[in-house]
Amino acid sequence: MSKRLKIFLNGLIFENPTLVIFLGMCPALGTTNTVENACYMSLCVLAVLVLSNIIISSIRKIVPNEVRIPVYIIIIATLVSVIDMLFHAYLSYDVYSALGSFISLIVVNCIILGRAESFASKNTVVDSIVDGVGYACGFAASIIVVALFREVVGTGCLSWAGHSVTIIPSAYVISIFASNSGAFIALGLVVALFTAVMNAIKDRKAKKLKEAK
Amino acid sequence: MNKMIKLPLFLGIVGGICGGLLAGTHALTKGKIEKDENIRKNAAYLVHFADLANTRVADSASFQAVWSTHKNIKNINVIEVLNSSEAVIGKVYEATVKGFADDIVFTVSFKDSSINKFVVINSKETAQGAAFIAAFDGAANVSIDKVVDYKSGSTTTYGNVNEAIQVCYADYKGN
Repeated sequence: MSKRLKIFLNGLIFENPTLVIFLGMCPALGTTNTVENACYMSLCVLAVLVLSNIIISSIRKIVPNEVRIPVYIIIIATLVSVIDMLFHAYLSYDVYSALGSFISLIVVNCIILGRAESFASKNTVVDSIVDGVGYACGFAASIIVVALFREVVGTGCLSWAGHSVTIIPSAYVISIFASNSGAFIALGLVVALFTAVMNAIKDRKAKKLKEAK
Repeated sequence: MNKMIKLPLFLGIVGGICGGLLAGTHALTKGKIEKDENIRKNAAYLVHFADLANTRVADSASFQAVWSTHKNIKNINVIEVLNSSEAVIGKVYEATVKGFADDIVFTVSFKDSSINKFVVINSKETAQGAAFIAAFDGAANVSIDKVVDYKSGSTTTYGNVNEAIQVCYADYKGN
C-alpha cells in the first residue's frame, strides 16, 4: 500500500477522529440532527482542515518552536472566520442558522489543531493535504452516518433543501433520537457497531495469518 | 536575532497577514450579507400585509423611532408599508425589548382596536416566556384587551412585550 494511501486510510478508518479517537464530539452531537446539516458541517471541517494543513505545512520550517501553537491557532481562527463570512453571504439563511455557533466551534475542534501539531508541522504539503482530506472524510463519514440514523429513525423522514421524503411512518419513529439525548445514544450505537466490525475484521485477519503459518 | 524581538515580530507578522485576509473577506461579503438581511427584514415587515399585493417597505432612512420611558423597552421603530402608488397603507412597529434570557425582537401591526399581526423575529426565551410568545406569534386580529388580560406566568417576558405592544398601540391610535 502506498504511503499516501496509508495516510488517507488512517484518517478515514483506522484513526477515525470521531469513532476511534473521539475528537470533534461537539459537532458530532450538535449538527447531526439532519443529514443536510451534517454535510455542511463536514464541508466546513474539510475546508478548514485542508487549508490549515497546507498553510502550516508550508511555513513549518520558519515557525519558531516557542510560538508554534499560538501561530497555528491564529491561522485556524482566521480560516474559520473567513469560512463563516463566506457561508453567511452565500449559503441559505436556514442552513447558516442551523450551523450557527458550530462553525465558530471548529476553531477549538481538536481535529484541526491536533492534525496541525502532530502531522502538518512535521510533513510535506502534499502529505498534509492527504492527511487533512483523510481525517475530514473520516469525520464526515461518521457524522453523516449518525445524522442519517437520527433523522430516519427519529423523524421518519429525510429532508434536503426544503424537500422531504418519508421513509418510516410517523407511528413507528423513535422520537428520542431526534433530541439532544438521542444524539448521545445514536453516536454510542454507531461507535459500538464500528468497533464490532473492526474487531471482527482484525480477528479474521489474525485467524488467516495463524492458518497460513 | 534576539528571541525577545524575533518571536513577537513573527507573531505580529502572522497576525497582520491574517488580519488583512479577514478584512478582505469582510469587504467582499459585507454588501451581500447586508442585502440579504434587508430582504429578510422587509419580508418580515410585508407579512403583516400579506393579503395586499404590490406592497413595499419604505426606505429604512425614513424609519421613525417611538419614544418610551419603559426601561425594558430598548427601541421601537415604525416602518411604513407602501403600495404601488407610494401611498402609506399601513405601519409595522418593530420593537426590541428585554426578555428573560436575551432581547426579544418582534414586529406588530394593528387594525382598529386589534392586533393585525404579531411576529417574533428573534427570541431565546425560557419555556414559559416562549409559551407567551407562541400564544401570539403569527396571531392575527387579536383584541388589544386580550393581550392585557393574558397571563402566562412569565412576568418578565409578558410585562415587557405587553408594555411595548401598548406603547406601539398608543402611537398607532395617536396617528
